Amino acid sequence: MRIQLCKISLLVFVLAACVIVQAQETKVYFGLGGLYNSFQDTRHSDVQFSQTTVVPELGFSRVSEKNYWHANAYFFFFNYEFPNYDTITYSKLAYNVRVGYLRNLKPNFFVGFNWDVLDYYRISTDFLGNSADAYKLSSDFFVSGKYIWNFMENWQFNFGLDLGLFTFVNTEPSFGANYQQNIIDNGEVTFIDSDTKRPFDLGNMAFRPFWDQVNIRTLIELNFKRRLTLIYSWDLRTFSDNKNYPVTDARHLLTLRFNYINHLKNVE
Amino acid sequence: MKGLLKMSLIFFALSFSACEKIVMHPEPGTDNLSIFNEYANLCIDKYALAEVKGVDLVALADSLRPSVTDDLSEEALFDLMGLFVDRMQEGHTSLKTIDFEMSKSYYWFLGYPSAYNFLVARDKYYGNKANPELQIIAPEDDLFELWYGHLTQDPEIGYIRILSFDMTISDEQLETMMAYLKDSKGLIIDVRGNIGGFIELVGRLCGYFTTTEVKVGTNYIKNGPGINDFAATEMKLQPSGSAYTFTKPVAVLHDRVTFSSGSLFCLAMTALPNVTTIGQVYGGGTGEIVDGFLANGWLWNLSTSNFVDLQGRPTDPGIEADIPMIINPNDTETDAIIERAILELQ
Repeated sequence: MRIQLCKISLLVFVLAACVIVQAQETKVYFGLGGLYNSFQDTRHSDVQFSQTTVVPELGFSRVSEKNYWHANAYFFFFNYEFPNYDTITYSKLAYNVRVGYLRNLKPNFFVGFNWDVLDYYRISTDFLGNSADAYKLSSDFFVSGKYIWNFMENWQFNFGLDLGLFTFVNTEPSFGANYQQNIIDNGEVTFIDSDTKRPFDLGNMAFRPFWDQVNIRTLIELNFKRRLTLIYSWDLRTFSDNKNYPVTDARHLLTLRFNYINHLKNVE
Repeated sequence: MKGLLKMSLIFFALSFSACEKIVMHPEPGTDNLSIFNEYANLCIDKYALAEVKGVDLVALADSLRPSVTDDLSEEALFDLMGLFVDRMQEGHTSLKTIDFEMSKSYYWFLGYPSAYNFLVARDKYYGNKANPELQIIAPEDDLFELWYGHLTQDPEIGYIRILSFDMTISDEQLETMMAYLKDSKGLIIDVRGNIGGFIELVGRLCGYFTTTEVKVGTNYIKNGPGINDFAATEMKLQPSGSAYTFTKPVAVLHDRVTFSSGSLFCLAMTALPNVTTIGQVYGGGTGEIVDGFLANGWLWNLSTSNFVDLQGRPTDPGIEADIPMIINPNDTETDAIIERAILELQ
């Protein structure tokens, strides 16, 4: 009996010793940021457009020693003026919804994937006819890296880098018409143009691997007492339907996040 | 290893930021030569009808460039660049300022005799006074109206007057119209003076005149800057599938002013076996159009495709009607082309 009890006790001790107690931090946040957007579509002009605006965002993150989950959504809207002729104005509406999962590789270092489920913009102007509207809707897949640096008590830096692997994209205009380039190239233009000019038509999306585009996102986060986060991110996307005619969209985003749910617990 | 990874991430996060200017093309200049070159390159790269119109835009640019100097006034530069518009000879192709103080277009209808007298057609055939029974589709926010019904000159012949395709007309309205006209022994569709609008309305309307998919022609659309960078699309009419599909004889009336979607309507209807066209060579403008701004804010339009009909003819210069006709502008009582169409359908 004593031997039995000893064996059971030993087993319980061994099992208990094998359980790793981890800290898991969950944040749900609201952020308000400033955006500086640079845009150039050389298919129609080399003129560079830029504008600043306010960007609200919502998000979630859950970080443990092994896993890093996150989700984020933001949108913005602004009017920008033609650089050399301010009578001409454009409006731009954009939004982005993304999720990601990274796995711990080394202490404080995570590697994984980020999926921009939807990245959309529409640019419109009343001063043009057939080319008055341009849009891009894409779903982008990135390989991601993140490093967490606890450099002082209550202060933490996060550094992140996302590199675009491939994208499914539906965008118009093309080089020479107000249809998507793949619609033109595949000879699928019709008299009923609304059949092909739908941004949310998944059937009209074109596959674009990383060697056909540059899609980069960098990220620097400064966390203070787990309640506030100051974050700077830079998104760059540049792609070409035709060599020497790239479309470039860059977004600098400086955001202050308030983590209104901030939950730290130990999990086994 | 850990340190290397950490430093790499920090390095990339910091060093990539704000690099977009490196991948962007330099901001274009707004001096005279830069503006001239920007427009010349646009025309050379995108204009799809250089061969059809017999113009060498590279040679034109090279011949004009020495005249572009810094002391050239804005008006003189505009006039010089307007020569591109003249030489491209296409009705959509234009160059203008936003305030329209300077504007250069090509008027495709100039020099042609008249094939349409609006007052005679309205007052003697389809207007309220001449034909009070005619129905009107008048979209609230649109400038134009569509008239349909039967002619008093022959009540068995239906008549549709479409002054523009720049109208929002629903499928239900088209269905109601075609139901109204279903018992006509023949139908006249008058698109004289129609300078275009929504291609989609053209497609939906034409679909009421065929029960099968019909090939109309081939649209060669510029898909790159090279001289041979075109992608071909076989353009087809799709049947509406309506119970009121009209397969009896149809006469389509067009004149030189009939342009853009107006011309595409004629082109599409010509592909149908029950259709006869009457009038004057239509105005063309059958290609795709793109527009944009030069760096100084001047607005440009260009035609970027070459629509070829079933006989292999470029349609942008216009195609002659099956029964070529013009009118006597001094005749204020009868529209000779409508009268000819009535005879054709009787």
